[in-house]
Amino acid sequence: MIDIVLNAQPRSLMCEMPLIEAIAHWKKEEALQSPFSIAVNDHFIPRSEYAHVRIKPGDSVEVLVPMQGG
Amino acid sequence: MTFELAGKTCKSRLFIGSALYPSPQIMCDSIQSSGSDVVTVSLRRQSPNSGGGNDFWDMIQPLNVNILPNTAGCHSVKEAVTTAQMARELFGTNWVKLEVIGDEYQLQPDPFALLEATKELIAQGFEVFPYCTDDLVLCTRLVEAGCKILMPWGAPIGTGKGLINPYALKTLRQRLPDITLVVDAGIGSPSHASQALEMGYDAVLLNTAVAQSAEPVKMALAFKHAVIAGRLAFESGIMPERDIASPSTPTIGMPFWHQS
Repeated sequence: MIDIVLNAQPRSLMCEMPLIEAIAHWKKEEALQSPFSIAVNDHFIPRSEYAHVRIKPGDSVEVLVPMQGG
Repeated sequence: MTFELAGKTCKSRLFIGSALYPSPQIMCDSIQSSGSDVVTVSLRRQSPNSGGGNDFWDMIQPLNVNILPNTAGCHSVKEAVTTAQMARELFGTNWVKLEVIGDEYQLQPDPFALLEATKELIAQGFEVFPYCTDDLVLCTRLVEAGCKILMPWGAPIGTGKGLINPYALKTLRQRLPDITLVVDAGIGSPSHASQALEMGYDAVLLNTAVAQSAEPVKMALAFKHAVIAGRLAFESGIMPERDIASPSTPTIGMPFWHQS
């Protein structure tokens, strides 16, 4: 198991894995809703890179969705 | 009353926010009542109670409006730039209302970080709508950095105080005649919006004034008419102000008045 932070909350993953696999896990476990956009360690990750970026121990992931705004 | 905005034709000079409404349905009804086709939105962490699905986004999309994502709550260049990048992918637009806040109480833009973030985002192909103060030098620097649109405040966000420094706003209008100017923030009543349009500003952006009124849908309609009135007045040429009275009724033929 590895420890990460997801939207400022401590979470665990089975192991280090590509972001795309982590997303599939969060869709089941966290009811992750679409559409969303992701940043890892304060860096924006485009969708085209989800398969290439790996989530490692200690990573901080922000998953943001559309919300009201002024 | 269409006008060109960043390559798009807009039918309204009223931009409206999507926050603070009593309910999602009132939000939709207010946006439609306003006639606005530019709506601001934000990005935030998913609510833990949402249970999947994005009700807000599902309600906004059918309104068929131009989405203007903001970077509200960002306090640094890094935060603002990253948020803008995420917004571009999420909303499918290169428009960004750039907010970099320097004071937590007044939500006053940090002019230095705003300028730096603007330069970075323009270099990345964004159409930046910077939320700024009414400072002429800052606005000039933003234009020099490539901004074609500026959004100076009328007053701090959510205060409803109106245009607290009309002299500064008029100066911006006179000194930056070719830039699209939008008064953003601080508008409280429709007369404030009219005032901005009468001054020659191209549009106004407001949220709290509608969402937190007693009847948001009716207030949105009031703002719609105020913006139209202000723009028509500007185009018609407002009479000059005078210090001495000048009668509007003819004096010639006045009865009981001895003319010598």
